[in-house]
Amino acid sequence: MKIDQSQISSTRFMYTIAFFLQSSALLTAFLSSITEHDSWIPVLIGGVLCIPLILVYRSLMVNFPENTLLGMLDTVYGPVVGKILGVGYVWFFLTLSALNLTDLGDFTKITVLTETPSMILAIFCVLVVVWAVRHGVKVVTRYSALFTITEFFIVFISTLLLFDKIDLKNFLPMFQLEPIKYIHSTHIIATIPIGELVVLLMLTPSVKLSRKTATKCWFLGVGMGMITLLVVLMRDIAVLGNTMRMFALPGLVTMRLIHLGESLSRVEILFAVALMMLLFFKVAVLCYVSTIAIAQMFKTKKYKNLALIVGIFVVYYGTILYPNNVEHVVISQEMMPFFWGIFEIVIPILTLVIAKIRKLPKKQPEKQKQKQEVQHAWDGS
Amino acid sequence: MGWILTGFALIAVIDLVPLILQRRGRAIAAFLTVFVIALTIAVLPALGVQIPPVLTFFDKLFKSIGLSY
Amino acid sequence: MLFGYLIRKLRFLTSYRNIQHQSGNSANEETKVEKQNEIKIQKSLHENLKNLKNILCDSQDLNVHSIRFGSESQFSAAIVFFDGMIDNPTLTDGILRPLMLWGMGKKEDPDDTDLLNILEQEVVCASTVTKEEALSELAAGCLCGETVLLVDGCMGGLVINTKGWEKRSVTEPASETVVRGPREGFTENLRTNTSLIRRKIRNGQLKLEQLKVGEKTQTTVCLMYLEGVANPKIVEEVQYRISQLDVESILESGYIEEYIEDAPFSPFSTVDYSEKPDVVAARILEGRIAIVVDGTPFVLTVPMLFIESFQTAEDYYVRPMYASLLRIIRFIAYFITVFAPAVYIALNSFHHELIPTTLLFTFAKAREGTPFPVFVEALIMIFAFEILREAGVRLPRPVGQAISIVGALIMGDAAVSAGIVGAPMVITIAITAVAGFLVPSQTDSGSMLRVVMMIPAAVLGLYGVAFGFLGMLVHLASLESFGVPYFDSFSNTRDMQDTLIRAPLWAMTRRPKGIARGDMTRGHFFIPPLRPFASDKHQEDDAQEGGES
Repeated sequence: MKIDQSQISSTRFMYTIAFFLQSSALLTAFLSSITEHDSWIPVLIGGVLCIPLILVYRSLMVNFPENTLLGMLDTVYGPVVGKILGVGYVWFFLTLSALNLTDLGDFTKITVLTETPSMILAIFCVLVVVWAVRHGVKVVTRYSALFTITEFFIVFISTLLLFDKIDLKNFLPMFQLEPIKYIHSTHIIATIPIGELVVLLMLTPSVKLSRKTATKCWFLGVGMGMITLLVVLMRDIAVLGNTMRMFALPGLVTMRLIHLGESLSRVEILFAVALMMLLFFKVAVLCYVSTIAIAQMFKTKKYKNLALIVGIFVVYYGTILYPNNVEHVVISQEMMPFFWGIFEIVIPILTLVIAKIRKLPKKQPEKQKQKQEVQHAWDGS
Repeated sequence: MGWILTGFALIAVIDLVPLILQRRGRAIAAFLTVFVIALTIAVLPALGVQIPPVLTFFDKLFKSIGLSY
Repeated sequence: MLFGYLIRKLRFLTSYRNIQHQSGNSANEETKVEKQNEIKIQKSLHENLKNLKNILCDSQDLNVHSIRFGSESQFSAAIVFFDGMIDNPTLTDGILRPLMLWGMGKKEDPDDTDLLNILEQEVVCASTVTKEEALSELAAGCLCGETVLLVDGCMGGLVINTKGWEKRSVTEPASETVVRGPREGFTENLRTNTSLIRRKIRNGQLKLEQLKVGEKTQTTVCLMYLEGVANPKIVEEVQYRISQLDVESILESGYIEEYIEDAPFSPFSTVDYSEKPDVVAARILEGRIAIVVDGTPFVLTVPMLFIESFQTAEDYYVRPMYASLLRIIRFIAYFITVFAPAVYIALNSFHHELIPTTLLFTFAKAREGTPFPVFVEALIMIFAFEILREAGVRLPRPVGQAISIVGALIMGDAAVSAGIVGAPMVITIAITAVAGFLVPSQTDSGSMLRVVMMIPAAVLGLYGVAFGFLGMLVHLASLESFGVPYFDSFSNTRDMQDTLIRAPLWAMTRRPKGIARGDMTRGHFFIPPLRPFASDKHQEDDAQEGGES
C-alpha cells in the first residue's frame, strides 16, 4: 500500500544508501575495541561477504515494487504471520531510531554541552526531525547527495592533513588475533552498518527501479559508503595505533591531533559537524520509516499526524534502552549481531526464498500495469 | 511532571484534534496506541517506578539460549 | 461559545486551500447575476448619455461634446471622454476632423446598423476602434482613457483608443543599479514595459496574455512567456490563480504576489521581482513566466528558485571567474547575516574554549560593565539597527544627514561608552547588517531568520545553531514554487553550473531542469573561439619586419 505519494529518483536513493553507511563510519568504537589494529580486515571481508545480502535486498525491491517491507511480509507469509513479523519490524525500526537518537544526544553531551540533560538535546533534534518527516520522503532525502559529498570532502581533507602523523607500522602485526575475533567483527559489520539498509526497503513504493538501475543503485551506494568506512578506519588505525581501544570516539581524537602550523587546530569541529549532519538525517529517515510502518500496520494513510508522537516516543524509548553506556557497548558487541541478524539477514532471505517458491508476485493484468506507467515523474528529482 | 503532561497535552491538541475532526478512526487508533505507550514510559520514571532496560532483557534472553559471543 | 470559535478556526486552518477554490466559483455566479441586471443600451442618444453619466456618477471631469456630421448634418452624435486621460491631437485629428469632413460617397443614407460599421471601418482614424453594445463596456472604455462615440439611432457605440497622459520616462532603476549592463528600468505604464521586454526578445515565440484583475481598479495584468519553452502546466496554474482573484484592488505587483504565492507563511518569497528588462528577459528565456502589472515598475517572475536571489544581472556581463568569486562571497555574506549574532551569542555563553585566548580577554573586558546578558544585548542592537534602517528609508532628504550622524553616534560610541552594550557586539551587528545588503532580495528573510536563530543559540549554544540551520534547510527543502522545488539547483547536480559558481556562458547549454519542460537545450557546446592571431601563419610577418619590436 502506498502511503506517501511522492516519488524520488534513483540517484537520490543511491545517495541515501551511501550516507546511511557513512554515518556508521563515525561511531566505529564497536569494531575497534574487538579487533584493534586489524579492524580494516573485517570491513573488507564483511563488504565482500555481504554482496549476496545486498542482492537479496535488491531482489526484494525489484520483485515487489509497490509494497513496502511490511507489505512484502504480508504478501509472502499471509496475513497472520505477516502481521506478527510486521509488529516485530516496527519494534526494530523504533529501536534503531532510539539508538541513533541517543547516540547523537550522548555525543553532544560528552563533547560539547556537558551539563545539559541529554533528553533536552534529543527533544530538540526530534522536533526538527518530525518537521522534516511531516513533509514526506522528498524532504527527508533531499540533501542526501550534498551530505554524502560533504562527508567525502571532510574525510579527504582530514586524511590529507594527517599525512605527517600516519605511521604504517601501526598496522602490524596483522592476522595475529584469534579467528573468533575476526568472525565477531565481520558479523558486527554485516549487521550494524550494512544490515541497517533493510530499513530502506520501506521506501520501495517511492522509488521506481528496474532491475538494472536497482543493482547499480545498491552497489554504487554501498560501495561509496564502504569506501568511506574503510578510509576512516584505516586513517584512525594508522594515526592512533594501539591506543585506539582507549577511546570511545577514535575519529574525534584523530581530528584533534591535526595541527598545521600555529593556526589550524580544533579541526574536530568538522567531525562534530559531520556527525550531526549525518546522524540527523539518519534519524530522520529512521523516524520516517517508523511512522510509515506504524501507519501501515493500522492501515491508515495519515502518517503526518503520527510523526510527532512517534518522535516523542522515540525520545523516551531511548532513555529506557540501556542503563549506562558501558552496558550499551557490551550488549552491542555481544548480543546485537545475532538479534539484528534475525531481522536483517534471516527474515529477508527467508522472504525471498518463500516468494520464489510460491512464485510471487503474481503477474498483474495488463490494465493495471498500464495505469501504473502513466504517472507524473516530472517532480521526481 | 507538569512539563511532561503539558507537553503531551499539546501534542494531543496539535495532532489528535484534526484527526477527530476528520473522523479517521484507524489513524486515531494508531495515534492513541503510540500516545499511551509514550505517556506511560514518560510518566513512570517521574513517579519513581523503574522500567527495566529493554536491551538488557533481550541480552539475558539471548545469553540463556546461548546465542551470543 | 469560545470552544466553538476554536473549532471553527481549527477547521479553517486544516482546509484553507479548499476555501480558496470555493470562493472563486461563487464570484463567477455573482458576475452572471450582475450582467442580467444591467441597463440596456438604447437607440436614443439622450437616454444613452443619461445612463452613461449615471454609471460614471456624473463626475465633473467627464466631458460630453455633441456634434453633428454627415453631408447635410443629419446625424447627431456625442463624444464622451475623461479630461486629462486622452491625447488631444488624436481626438481632434483622428476622430473629429474625419467625422466632420465626412462627405457621403454614396447617395443613399446608410442604415442605422450600417452607420456604426462604416464609421468604425472607413471614417475614424485611430489605431484601435471597437464597437461595443453594452453600456458597462463603454463606461469601462471611458475609464481607461478611451473616447466613446455615441450616435443617435444606433444601438451601440464606438470605443476609440486615444490614451495619453503624463508618464515617467525610462530611467535607471533606483533599486537595482549596475556598474556594467543596460540602465533601462521599467516604468508604471504597462505598454512601455511590455515593449521593453519585446525589444529584448524579438522572437515570435514570446507570447503575451492579458487579464483584468481588481473590481475597482481594473488593473491590466500581462503574462509573458516563451511558448514551447515554458512549462505549460505552470502557465496554466498561473492563469488559473490570477483569473480566480476576486479582489477589490490591485495597486502593485506585491498584491498579486501575495495572492498567488505558494507559501504565505514562509519568510522566503516564492515569487521573484525585478525592475530591469534585461533581467526579466533572461528569466523568460530560461522558461519562466513574467507577470507585468499596470501601474508599477516591478515585474514578477515565476517560478522562483532560492538561488535566484544570489544571481544578479551583472554576474552574466562580467568575467566568469570574477562572477563566481562574487557569488561565493554572496553566499558567505548571507550565512553571516543570518548566523553571526547567533554564533556570537553561542560562543560567548557556552563555548568559551572555542574563542582564541587574546580575543577572549577582549570579550571578557567588554562584557565586564554591561548589565544585560548577551542575548538581550544582541536583541537591543538588532532592534536599534532595524529602527535606523527603516528611518533611513522614510526620512525626508533635508533632514537625512543630521539623523544619520545622530544614529551613528548613538549606535557606535555612545552606547559603548555608556556601558549599555559591548564594543564586540556593535561590530558583530554592524557586519551582520552590512552583509545583509549583499543579497538584496533576501534582506527581509534574513532579518527575520537572524532573530529566530538567536533563540536556539541562547538555549543550547552551537548545537542549537546547528539545529536551527538544519531546521532552515528542512523548511527550504519543503518549499515549492508553482510545482518546482525551491532548492532545486542544489540537489540536482546538473544545474550546479549556475549556483555556487557561474559557469562561462558557452558552457551553459541546458536550461534549468524543473522550469523549462518545453525545450531544455539552450545552445550547442563549443570551446571559446580560437584566437586567429595566435596561429603559426603570422609568425612570418614578424620575421619579415625584423622581429617583434
